[in-house]
Order: sequence, then C-alpha cells, then structure tokens
Amino acid sequence: MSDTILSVRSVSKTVRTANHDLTILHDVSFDIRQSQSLAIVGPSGAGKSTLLGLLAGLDEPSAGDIWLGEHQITAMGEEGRAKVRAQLVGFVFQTFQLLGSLTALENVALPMELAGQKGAQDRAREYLDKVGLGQRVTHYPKQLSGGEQQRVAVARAFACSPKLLFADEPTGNLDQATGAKVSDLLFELNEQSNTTLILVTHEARLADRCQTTITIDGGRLISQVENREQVAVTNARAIA
Amino acid sequence: MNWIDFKLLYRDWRGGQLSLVISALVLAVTVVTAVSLFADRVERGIRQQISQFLAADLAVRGGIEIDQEYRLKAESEGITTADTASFRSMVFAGDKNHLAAVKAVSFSYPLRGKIELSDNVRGRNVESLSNGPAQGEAWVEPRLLNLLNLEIGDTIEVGYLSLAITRLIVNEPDRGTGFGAAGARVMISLSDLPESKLIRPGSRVTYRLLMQGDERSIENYKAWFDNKEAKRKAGNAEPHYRLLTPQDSEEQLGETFARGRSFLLLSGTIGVLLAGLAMALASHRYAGRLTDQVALMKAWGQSSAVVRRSQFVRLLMIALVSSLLGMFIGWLAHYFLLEIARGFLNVELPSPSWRPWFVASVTGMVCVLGFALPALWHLPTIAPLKVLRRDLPTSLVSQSKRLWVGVLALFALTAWYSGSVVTAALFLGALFALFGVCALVALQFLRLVKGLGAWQGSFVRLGLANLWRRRSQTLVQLVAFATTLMLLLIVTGMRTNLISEWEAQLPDDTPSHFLFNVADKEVDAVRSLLDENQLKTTEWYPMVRGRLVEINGETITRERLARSGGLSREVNFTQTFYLPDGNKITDGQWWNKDTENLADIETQLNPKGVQETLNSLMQQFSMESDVATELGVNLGDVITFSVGGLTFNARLTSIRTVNWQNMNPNFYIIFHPGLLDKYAPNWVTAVKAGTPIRAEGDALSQQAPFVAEMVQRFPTAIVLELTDVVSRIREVISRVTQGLELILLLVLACGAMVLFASISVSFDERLRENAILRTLGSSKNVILGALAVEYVTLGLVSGVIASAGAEIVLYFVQTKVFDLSAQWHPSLWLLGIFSGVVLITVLGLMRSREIITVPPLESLRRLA
Repeated sequence: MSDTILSVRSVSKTVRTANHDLTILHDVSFDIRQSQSLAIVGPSGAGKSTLLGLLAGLDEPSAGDIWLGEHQITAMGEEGRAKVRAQLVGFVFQTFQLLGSLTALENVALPMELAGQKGAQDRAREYLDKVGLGQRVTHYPKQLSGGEQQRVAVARAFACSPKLLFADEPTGNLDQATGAKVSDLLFELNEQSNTTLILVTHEARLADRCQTTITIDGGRLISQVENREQVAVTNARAIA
Repeated sequence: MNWIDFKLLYRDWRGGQLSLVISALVLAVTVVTAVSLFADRVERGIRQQISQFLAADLAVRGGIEIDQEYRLKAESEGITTADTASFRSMVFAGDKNHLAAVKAVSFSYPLRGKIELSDNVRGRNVESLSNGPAQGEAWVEPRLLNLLNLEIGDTIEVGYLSLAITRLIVNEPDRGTGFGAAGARVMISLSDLPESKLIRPGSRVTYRLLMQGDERSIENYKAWFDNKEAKRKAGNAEPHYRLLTPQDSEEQLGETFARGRSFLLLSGTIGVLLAGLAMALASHRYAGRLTDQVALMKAWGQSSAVVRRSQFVRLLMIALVSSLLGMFIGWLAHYFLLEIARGFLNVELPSPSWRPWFVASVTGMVCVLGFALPALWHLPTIAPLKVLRRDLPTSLVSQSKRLWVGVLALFALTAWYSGSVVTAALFLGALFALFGVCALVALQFLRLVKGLGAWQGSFVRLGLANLWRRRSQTLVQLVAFATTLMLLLIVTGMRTNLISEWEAQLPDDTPSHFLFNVADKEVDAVRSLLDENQLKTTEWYPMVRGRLVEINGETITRERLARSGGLSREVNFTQTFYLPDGNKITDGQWWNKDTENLADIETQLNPKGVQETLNSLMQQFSMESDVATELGVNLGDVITFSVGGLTFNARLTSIRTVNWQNMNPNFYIIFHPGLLDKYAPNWVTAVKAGTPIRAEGDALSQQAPFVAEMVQRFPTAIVLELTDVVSRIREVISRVTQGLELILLLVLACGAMVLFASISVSFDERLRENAILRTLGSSKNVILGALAVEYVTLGLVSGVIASAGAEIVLYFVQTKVFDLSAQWHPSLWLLGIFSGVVLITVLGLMRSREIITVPPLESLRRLA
C-alpha cells in the first residue's frame, strides 16, 4: 500500500435541507495508487461530483477519512487542505473555468504564478504547444472554440505538475469528436507526467480508458471494476 | 506585496472590469482636489497678504483724526509712525471724472511691505519703494489712466488741488481685497490733504496711525491701549479708535475662509456621494466577475488570508492610482476656478500647502474603503467547492450593511470637510431627504408611464416595461440625475434670471442715483441744482453714523449684536417727521401730531418749560422689524446710542417693516426729529434722473448731465449710480455661481457614472434578453427603439423633476430673499428637460451599444 496516493475510508456526506437531512454519500471506501486513472461513473444526482469535491479537499465529509498522499485531509481545516491542494492537486472542469479577461497563456500561467513558481510563462507556453495551441497564446477564451478552451484548461492543469488531477466531466460540454480529442490529450499528458487521474464522467468510452471504474448510485459505491486492458497497458509500460 | 497582485490588477483593468470603479473614484478625487486646492491657495494668498495687510506691526484706526496722545505714546516707546487717511472722492481730468479711492499718506508710509510702482501702463520697470508720494505728486492705479484718458505726467484734480501723475501703482501692501475698494486708487501726500479741502466736517474718512517697532515696545503699546479702552468703557464713553493687529485680521479671515472652504467642499460632497454610489454599483459587478477567479484561486490552494491580502493590495493600488489621477485632473480644474474668481481676487497665489493633497488622498482612500470594499468583502470567504458547484450561494455582505458603511464613510468625510458633525448630519439629512422626495416623485412618474406603455406599439411598450421591471435601478439613475441637474438649474437660474427679474420688477419711478454725504449747508444749493435740471428726488434725510451701546442699561454683548446682521457694525441713523414711503408700522405708534405741535411751539417760542417736555417726548425711535426680532428688543425698551463718541437714550415706540425694494433711502433706525440735530448730520436723497446711460467698459457711469456739475461743485458729496450697484452685484453673483456651476458639472459627471454603473449592473441581463429577442426574430431597430424609449423617458422624467425642484427653490429665493413676485422660468424647464433627455439618451445608448451590436449567438456564448 506504500504507493497509495488516495485512500478513502467510510466517507459519508449529509447535507441539511429545510425539512430533513439528505445523505448524498453513504460509507464510500476505496484506494488509488500513484499514476493510476480512476473513473467515477453513475447516473445524474448519484453523488459523483460531491465525491470528487471531497477527494480533492474542496469540501469536508460528514463522516469518514480521506488521505491524499501522507495527508489526512479530513483532519484538516480549510487552510490546511488549501496547502495540500497547492502541493498535490490540479483540476479540469466541465465548464472549463477559464478567466475571460486573461489570454490563453495567462490562464495557463496563473496557478503557477500564484504558487510563486519561476518561469511560469515559459512553462505555460510549453504546455500550450503540447495541446496544439502554440499559435493561440494571446487569444482570449471568447476567441476560442469550446474544444480549444478545454485544451487550454488541460494545459493549465498539467503545467503545474500535480500529483493528482481531478477532472469533472471534462468532455461533458463538447461534441463527440472534440470530446475524443480532449480525452486523448488528457490521457496522453497523464501518461507523460505520471499523474494520478480521477475523473467524473457520463461517457462509457472515457471511463473505459481508465484503469479503475467505480460506480456510484444513490450515494453508494456499488461497484469497483479494474479495466484489465488498461492495467495491462500500464504494466507493460512499467516493465518497459 | 506580491507581483502577481499587480498582474491580476492590470489584467482586471485590461478586461474592462475596473474602468467604472476607477473613473468614479477619479471623479470623486477630482472634485475634492479642485475645490480644496482652490480654497487653500486663495486662503493662503490672502493670509500671506495679511502679514503686510497693515503695512505696519500695529495700527490705530478711527473715523476721526487720531488724537495726539496716541502718537506721543508711540514716540515715547520708540515706535516709528506713519499716517494714512482714506476716503472716496471724485477726481477730475478735463470733463471726465471718476469716483476714486483716495489715500493720503505720510512720506514714511509704508512701514512694512513696499509699494510697487511702475512708469508705464504695462506694469514693466517695477520698483519697490518704502515711502509715499512727495507733495504735488499723485500715484494712481493704471486703470485710472484709461478711465480718464490720461497719460503719465498729466495732471488730475483732487478737490481744489492739481496734482501731477508721476507713477503708477502696481501693488500696495494694505490695499485690501474686498469689494469696498472698488474705485481706482489715487495716492497723494498727506501734506497736500488740507489744501485739497476734501475733508470737511462729516466727511467719511478712515484715519490710521501705523506703527513699527520691536516686539516689546509694540506689546507695551498694546497694553497701554487696552488699559485706556478699559477705562473708557468703565466711564461709559464710546471708543473712538480700534487697535488693529495682523492677528486680528487673520483670525477674522480665518473664520470666513473656513466657512467658505467647507461650503465648497460640501457641494463637492454631492459629487463624492454620487461617485461613491457609482463605485458601489460598479464594485458589485466587479465582485461578480471576481467570484470565479477567487474560487479557482482557492481550489488551487490559495488561503483566504492570501485572497484577502491580494484584494487589499489591489484596492490600495486602485485607490493610489485613481487618487493620483484625480489629483492631477483636479489640479488642472482648479485653474478654471481661479480663472473665474480672478476678477475679484487681487491676490498673488502661493503654491498650495499639503492639506488639499491630504484631503484628496484621504477622500480616495475612504471612498475605496466605504464604497468598494463592502461589495468585495465576501470574496475571500467564497468556498473553493464553487469551482464544481457554481450554484453554491455566496454570502454577500447584506445590502443594508453596505449602505450603512457607505453612509458612514460619507458622513465621516462630510464631518471632516465641514469640521462639524452637526453640519454634516444636517447636510446629509437634507440631501437624503431630497433624494427621498425625488425617488417618491419619480416612482409616481414611472407608474404613470407604465400605464401609458400598455397603449403603445411594440418597442415603446418594451422600453417602458423595462423601466418598470428594473425600477430600483431606474430610481437610482433618476434620483442621481434629477438632483444634480436640479442643483445646476438652480445655480444657472440664479445667475441668468434672478438679477434681471429683479431689475425688471423695479418700479418705473425707482431712483437712478443716490446722493450721499451732502453737508448741511450744501443741501439748499444741491436742491436748486437738481431743480435747475428738473430732477425729482425722494425725501431728504439727515444721516449720522452711530452704534447701539446698551439696552435698558445693559451693555449689548458682541454676540447679541452679531445676531443682527444689520446692526452689528456702525449704522446710519436718520430722523424724520413722516413715515417714509414703503414703511409700515407693525407695532406701536409713529410719533403723533402732539409732538409735531410741540415742535412747532418749540420753533416759535422755545420757552424753557416746553423744551423739557419736548425732550422727553422727542426721545423716541422706530426700528425695522427684522433687526428688532434679531436683537430681541420690544416696544418700550430704552436703548443707548452712541454717535461720534457721545451717547444718548431713546425709547422704542414703533416697529416697522421696510420695503427695501423701492430703492429709496431706507433706515433700520429712525429717530424722532430733533434728536440728531446736534450731531452735524450729512444729508442723503435719491434722485430720479430717468434711465441712466452706461459708459463703456470699466468706467463708472455718472453720465447723467447733473452728475458732473454736482461733483465739481460739491466735491465731498458722493453720487452713486444704481446701475453700477446692480452691475457689481451681478458680477459677484455671476462669478460665484460660475464657480459653483463648474463644481456641479463635475458632480453631473459623477451622476453620469451612476447611470453607467447602474446600466452595467443589468448589462448581462440585458445582453441575454436582447440576444433572445433577436434570436426570436426581433429586428435591431426594435431593440434600439426600446432602449431609446427607456433612456428618453428616464431623461424626460429626470428633467421634469429637476426643473420642478429648481422652480420651487427659485420661487422661494425670489419671494423670500429678493422680495420679488414669483415668476415662471420656461427657459429653465426647457433647459432641464432638454439636457436631461439628451444627456441620458446619449450616455445610455453609448453604454448600451454592445447590447445592440454584439451578434446574438456571441452574446449567448459569452454569458454561457
């Protein structure tokens, strides 16, 4: 278990509504090893995004424990979790979340600049090249198509070299062809940078590319499936 | 401090999210800088002059010649002295004349400061002298040469003297800056004064004994003078002389300027308020734009503290840059104010002190903290989870809390500007009440307009419906525009209409000239001169100057006198049998026939017994009702008066109202005939010489045919032309209102910011709605039409409210201040409505052009 990067133990999330308590997640437990990819699937309203938020330390569970690397983030306050996020975590969102007043380059460089990393712009340029947008660095989000915007977001996520990358429906807002391109890119960069990828998706094809798929329904983890083909590919790569 | 904060700030600016916040702040600082720089420089300029104001370290001033003992005391203290005597008199050159401000000075004048003289009208070759003109010489102000068509070397007649003009006065230390010194200066030698025969009994002359010495001797002299005055007071004698020190003048002026400065700053406060409102609205939108950025920053691991610090740094930078820019523009703007004021400010202006800059930068900072920060306060508390769940609520600082913070900031600024919490509370209270009334009226208009919309075509209906639907924003825009426009209309109305209305409403038989200072023995001769010219006059009134000393045996305190503006200084007294025209007794009784009969008897018989009765009956007077109320005196009160150092008592037996509008000689205090006989009164009357002809330019216009003869034959008499008085009043009002207009134009710009900001608040909503309308097939023209209808209506309603408000204020000014009959001002309504409609429509459409020009698909994508 020494290479486990994410460990989830009996995590539940209950929210208080006007009339009663609503349990969104029940007793979810699983582990992910370093460099693995995990797809969280399930119907709408199953609690997938809630789980993703908890895993990334963006929210606190009502019960249970989560370890990100060495850090038990469930024992930390928001400020502590923020530090862990700054060290380990990157994001890709369904709605891209690019800042409209920043160019593609500035969007990619921003998290590195905030973290005080040197050479942020150069690295951003490098990653924009990697996602095929080397010629569009000065373009603003509104001048880019949806697919291009998501590629910028992917570049932004990987440029920081996170240990874990959380992607929430990364192709959800894109057509099939564009979505396929973006997911290719996501897995390609994931391979190159040895990042652990955790994504929430509705798309079976995207889930199939992950080594592990967990299915959430009604807030419960109802299955955890190892995708043997993907595991084999990873193992082969590891041997090579 | 982190570079990334600057980068973020620059990117926010580049993205256009900050332009409104910054523009509003720049405007607020501009208004305050311009106003306080102007006030500061003028104040300091005048203060600097005060140190030379006396042209001495100390001066004794009096309306009669300075007694020898004052001079001897100075000499015994080793103090150097000089003398001046100032008065107004006609000077002549051929057939031209001018009512000059004559000053006769001893050779040793001035003791402090120097007279700057030149030998040419262009003011070149200036030399500074510490002595006055020699006998037979006259030094004059350059404008006198123009007025009388003279050149250097020519002679002028001053009384019975002919003097050669040898130099031109560029500056003199104790000239003063008030409007009183209106005539051109003619400076002559004191030794020429007796020969000029200008000074006769009763002439109004101000004598000064100037003194210069070391600190100790000056202190000794002061102590001696105060001691002497105290003794005089104890003996109930009236002081003849006043001691003038530079400090006295400074204190008095200090108060005046503090009041002036706070008045100007208060008018600027309206600008700060509107700019603050615009900032608050714009910051709200800015905060909305920052929400995603902050959520992302937090998801990437930035702590709340870092976000808060970044927010503060950015706001600090905004405050700094905007304040600097505002100060620069304000610095430019204050030159316009100075230009406007130049006509009546004859002061050399020093560079400003640090205070205006301090006021401006504090204003900038307080605006940011009071108006922008509350809208952004919640940002660091945004949950990082918002990156995943955008619907997560953000805990904004409640609107009422933000409002209170804003009001508090404004209150703090206003109290600071005015130096008084009470003034600030009253001012803001009145301003908010005005806003409230405007909002209520505007709401009724909107209801009316909404009803009208139902009957109109598509785009009109759409535009009017939009106004009603967004009525809170509509009201903010309406109130901001209506109130600023109203203030501008009031000020413009005063400048353009009031004086002409006052002139127009003067009755046809209004006198055209006043004759003052006619000596007792000259009255008959003047009368026959006027008869020869077939001129009618009002009654002739004897006039002496005096003051009130005691009421019912109790000394009148300075405070009590100060309550009555009219009586706080020396005033003109008269005596007459008949109640003058335009006077009406409201309380008590005018002297009746009995006393007249007694007077008749006295003139015929003058037996001793009758004289005594007469004295007791004669000892009564009548007072104008306003000053009686201000002073708090009642019928039957016995007041002690002092004239020329002598005191006497009289009982108040009647109170009257005076029609000041009839331009006849009017008096606050009228005595029973006989009481003033022994005080050698001068006479005054008003002459009806038809419409006077005005001279060109600056020349005073005593052009009626009798005037030249009058002043030549009676050099000490003063002829004053009504049109001159009116034109001076007009000039003062015009300059003051022009200055205010400039400030209010800046305030109006702040109003435009509010319009921009409130359009911005609903901008996304409008963009989306219009994109949907366009998608559903509405033409661009329908959307443009609806917007135009919206803004035109907004402008129309603002214009109507502003004009109505201005008309109401002008009505009160007309009827209560100027005592005029009320009059409509259609031109003001036209101006108000026209400028309201044009301004709001043009500005509104300018700000909304994106809504029309951006293709619908792009709008929808942008807002997705």
